[in-house]
Amino acid sequence: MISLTLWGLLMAALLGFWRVVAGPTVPDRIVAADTVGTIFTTLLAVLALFFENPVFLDIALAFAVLSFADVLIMAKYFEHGELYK
Amino acid sequence: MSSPIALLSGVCMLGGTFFALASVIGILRFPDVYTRLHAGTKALSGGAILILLGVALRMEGWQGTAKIFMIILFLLGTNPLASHAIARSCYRHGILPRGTREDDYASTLHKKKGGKTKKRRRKK
Repeated sequence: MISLTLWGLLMAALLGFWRVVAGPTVPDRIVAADTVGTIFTTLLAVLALFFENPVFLDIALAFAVLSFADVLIMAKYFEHGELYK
Repeated sequence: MSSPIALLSGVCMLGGTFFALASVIGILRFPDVYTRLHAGTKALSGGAILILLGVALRMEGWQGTAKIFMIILFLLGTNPLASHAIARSCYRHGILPRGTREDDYASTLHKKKGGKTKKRRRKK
């Protein structure tokens, strides 16, 4: 069941990445990037179970923080055209 | 895979995978930024929390479970924040939801900003 979950999450990340590549406008790409970041956070947690190595949980936590900051910066840049305004 | 806890965690993980796939299909199929945001944020938060609970049931030792609950709390806090930031920047940038005929909030927004009270209409 763990490998099935891994394959399903990888399929979901690939399909979301298609929207990142082919999204018609910029906010579509931002939304899809947010989705792919959340999927990869859970994927890292499942990898910790798959390899029986709890280091992956720390990586998942750091990746969640980085993904959140990433999305906030992209949204702010899209709103103003520059970061500090 | 014999004990009931392992079975429960497998069911949780497969349910979360279903939610993730459904939300990604929604992102691919919906026509608008706001509907895509709805599909990609809310359903995926639920699916991710289900998968993380399924992982937490199978962890050995309390440290891994504590870290997973930290990740769950962080996702619960930050996913609505991120989606709100995206929707706010889209609206302020001038993107209206699909099918909008008249935008009543635009006059309030522009009065607060500059003093013009114009109503924005959706471009054909």
